[in-house]
Amino acid sequence: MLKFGIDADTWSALNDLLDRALDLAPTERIPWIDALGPEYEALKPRLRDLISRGGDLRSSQILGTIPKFPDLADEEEGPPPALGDIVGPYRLIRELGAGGMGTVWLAERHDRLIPRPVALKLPRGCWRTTALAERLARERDILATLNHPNIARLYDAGITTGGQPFLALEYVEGRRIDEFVWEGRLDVRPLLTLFLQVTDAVAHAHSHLVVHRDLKPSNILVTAGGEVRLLDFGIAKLLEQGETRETELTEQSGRALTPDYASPEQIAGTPISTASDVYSLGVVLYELLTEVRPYRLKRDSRGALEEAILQTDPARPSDVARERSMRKALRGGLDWIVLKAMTKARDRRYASAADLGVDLRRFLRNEPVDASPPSAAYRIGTFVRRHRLAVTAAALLVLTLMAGTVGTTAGMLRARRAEASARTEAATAERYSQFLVNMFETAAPEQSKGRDISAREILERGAAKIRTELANEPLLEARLLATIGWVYTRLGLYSEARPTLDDAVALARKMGDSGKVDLAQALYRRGQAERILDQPITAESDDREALAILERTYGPNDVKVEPALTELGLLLRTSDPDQSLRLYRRGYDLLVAAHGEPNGAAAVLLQNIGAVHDRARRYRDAKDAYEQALPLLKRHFGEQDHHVGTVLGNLAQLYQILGDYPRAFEAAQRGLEVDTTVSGPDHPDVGIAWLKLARISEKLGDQRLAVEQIDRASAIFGLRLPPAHPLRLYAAYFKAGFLIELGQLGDAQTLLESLAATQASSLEAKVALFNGWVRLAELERLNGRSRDSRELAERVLADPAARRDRRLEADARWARAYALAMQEQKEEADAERTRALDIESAMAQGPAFQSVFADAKYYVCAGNATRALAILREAIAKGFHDPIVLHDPAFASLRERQDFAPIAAAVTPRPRPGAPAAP
Amino acid sequence: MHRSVDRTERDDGAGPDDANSADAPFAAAYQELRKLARFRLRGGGRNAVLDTTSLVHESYVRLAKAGRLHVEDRAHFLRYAGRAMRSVIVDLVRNHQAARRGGAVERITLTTRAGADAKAAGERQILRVHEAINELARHDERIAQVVEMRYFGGLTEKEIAEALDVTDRTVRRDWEKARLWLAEALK
Repeated sequence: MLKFGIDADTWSALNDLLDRALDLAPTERIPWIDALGPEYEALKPRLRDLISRGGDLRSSQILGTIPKFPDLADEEEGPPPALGDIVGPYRLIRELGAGGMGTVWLAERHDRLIPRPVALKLPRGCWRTTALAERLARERDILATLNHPNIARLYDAGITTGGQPFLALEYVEGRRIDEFVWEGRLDVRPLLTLFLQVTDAVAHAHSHLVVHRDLKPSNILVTAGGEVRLLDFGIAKLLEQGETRETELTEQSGRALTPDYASPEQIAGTPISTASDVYSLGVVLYELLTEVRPYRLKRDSRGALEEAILQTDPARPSDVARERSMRKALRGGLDWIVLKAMTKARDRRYASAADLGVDLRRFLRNEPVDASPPSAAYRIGTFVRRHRLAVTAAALLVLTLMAGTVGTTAGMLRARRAEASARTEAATAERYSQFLVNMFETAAPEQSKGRDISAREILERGAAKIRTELANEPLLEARLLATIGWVYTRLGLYSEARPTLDDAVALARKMGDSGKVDLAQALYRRGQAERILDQPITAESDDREALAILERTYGPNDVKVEPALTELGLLLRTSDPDQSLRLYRRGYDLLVAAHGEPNGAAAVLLQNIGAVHDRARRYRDAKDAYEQALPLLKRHFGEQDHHVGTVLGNLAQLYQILGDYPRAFEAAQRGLEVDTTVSGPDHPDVGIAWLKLARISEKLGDQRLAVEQIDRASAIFGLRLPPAHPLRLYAAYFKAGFLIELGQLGDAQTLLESLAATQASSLEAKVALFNGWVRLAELERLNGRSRDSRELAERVLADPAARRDRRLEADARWARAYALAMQEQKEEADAERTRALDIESAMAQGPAFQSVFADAKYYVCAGNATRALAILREAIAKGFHDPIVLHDPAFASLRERQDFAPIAAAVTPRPRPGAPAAP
Repeated sequence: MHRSVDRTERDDGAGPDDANSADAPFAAAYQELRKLARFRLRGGGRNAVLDTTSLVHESYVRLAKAGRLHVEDRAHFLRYAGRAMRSVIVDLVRNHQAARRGGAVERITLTTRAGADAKAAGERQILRVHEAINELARHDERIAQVVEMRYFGGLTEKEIAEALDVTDRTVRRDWEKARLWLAEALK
């Protein structure tokens, strides 16, 4: 074990001296050390020693780069085997081949009267370990259990006294199966009959729990008599419990693996099973039938191939086969058999070679095969793997399909009594579904000619097609555009959403009575986009119109009114929380009445109800609602769902407010995880999740991390949201706070000044902006400009918007009180403090620690440090542990005092859970 | 500092997808580095040498192309890559040593002996630098990171400066000092 054997003080002293010495020319260093004063006497020998190593270093490349590592294969390499050499009991006759793993020789036993030719495999020197001896012994044992006419026998395996390992296999004279098939121009039936010998041999091995792991044409020979011989079970490994993991041992042997035929799980290094051989067999069969490789690579590299094996679906054999007659023969059954064998998800493949053989025999007997064309679900699954963003679009389209057909047919049929219009409606609903399906189908790889299609592209094409092809069917056009607009919104593509929804609204409006339900839907969807884009006025008129239409059509107590209620509730959640709560509750009751129990939509409303309580600082009610909603949401939508992400994010923030930072961090991280998965990394929801995480990191004392996280949030917001959007303003506001705590006051000032110059239109944006002003006021005060500070606070308080948000008002009053206290206007300052405290106590639902902190700061500003410390101590006794007092520059003077130490100890954060540990 | 940002409630439903994690880009980086290292050693055959520099850059490009990393992640990635490479390499060395201790049947000839010695010395150096970094980190986290990124990650001074958000000069000086300490520790 290495130790520098020095304590922290010595280290820092030596470090300083080293810095100074290294500033000097090399020749001056030792004399400089010698001349150091007597107080450095103890350090001098070490220092000289260290400095003198500099000379050695310059002349050598030591530590410049890592030693060449670990060209294992070169190690202990003897001379290559040569003709006539004796290896163990064998004499080498002729080299048959050489590969990454070693060489193969035709050899014969020299100690026998009647020599039997064998194929002698001589692995390279890197295998000369005990591990190899074990492996050879194991292989011998495994292969002893395999007794099949189509599997080449292993006669012997061992290590010579010279250390050369060897394997003696049955010598097979034959040709590679691919050459045999192509040169013989074998037709489908004889080809398959031949291939069945392969599947039978592999099936035999599988039934003995032996996986070949390296099936490829060069390992499959055909003898002159037309019999298949499978070679090289050299890297097979006894299957334990049905599945095997890559151990160090097999990982080494994995070097010999040929990626062309390797299964996705072999590439990914995940456990392999008999299904891995099925995959390789599928590739071999694909090539035999089509004479082409299954993957067309963008560039010819191993990386590209691995990528393709993991991600790309092969083209249908019938689309690529060289021979026209072959294409015809492949279409249908054989296509599906080959593709089923080659499916990425191994549980969708044939479980073993035997099953593959069974299906091939069915095909030969002209019976229906087990493999079938990929289902819609499978295609979507494939698509899911290809594109994150597109996935969400696809999933959403599927969702609207289900919701659309149920909602429109059932609902509207009842709404329209006349049978004729019911028929029209049913037809419209059918066409609607069909159109969406087609849109998706176009995006499937085989129709887009392997080109990557983004979600945006799918939607754009869909919208264009709708506009041109459905010009005569305005109702259908409106409905489809409304759907596409909604998908845009959900993908965070707001600028595309608006015009699409505008068109939908206009079209539906023109339809009069027959389009009213579609109009309502288009309206509340447009209201949603407008709400997110912070356009509350137009949003409210859209939502209210939608609600009125639905109430008139179905009656106020019909569950179909609920989407409009919810949307309006969302819109009013900050400006009119009480009405918002009433709307949510009404929607919730309608849903429960209609379904008999809370369904998914009702669970969403529960979460929204929680959020209203949360914002009104009724934390207990909020926590109850969230915790009630979370399991319901998981049950109805699955773990990976954006509602689940939302609740997790809200819970995280609630825990943070309640002072449980580690739990908050955990929830925030899980929320971020879910949001990223569901919405893609650039979605504003993900930005919100980063923002929340940043604020918790701050509380856990990691301001640097907090800045990194908030920057990620800002980057995301910048992509999708207009400049004065409240979220962008808040991100800047929070970042400025972190910078202040890091002592980077200049950077904070710049940021806040640019924030202060923003024009805010909506109430929310204004509140965000004013928060920035209050923080700027804080900064001005820290810089000693208490007059500017006070002026900023007063400008905020003068605006009616400030009164709408009590937290903001309190913060502004505190800022004014601090500035007044610093200007020694004691009476006025105290009066403002009292007003701030009144607001705080009116708001306080949980522990009122925010006011503790603010009040302590007040006394710092008023020059009464003793009182400030007393307030903090008292709060700590009650459980206050916000580490902000360690960072806020306002407390700098307090922190220098000795009696601050116990406070510091009490608020120092515990380590963050889930932080990556150093290796 | 105490204003709670507005919670965004959201409405309609969404579909399922595969999993990912909060630290995903960097967990992915680690996996990617490991995978590349393994394939490099396996695929190249006899003369495979682990070129950490290109390994790090290649994995960055692959992750960025796969959309798993963003431009702004680069500094974070480089810091992470140094750490990841260190653990990958130290694991490889340890495995290799364990395999040898397992009782290699070594053929002893004059020429190969010398080669084997050099290699073993290289491996010893790797492990000792690894331990020395731990020791350095107790005194100076940044110096330790510089060594990690330079020695194990094969990164340039400029890249290290970018990753640590310091000047090139600082990196050069840290490295100069670190080499002195390491030379002493490895003597």
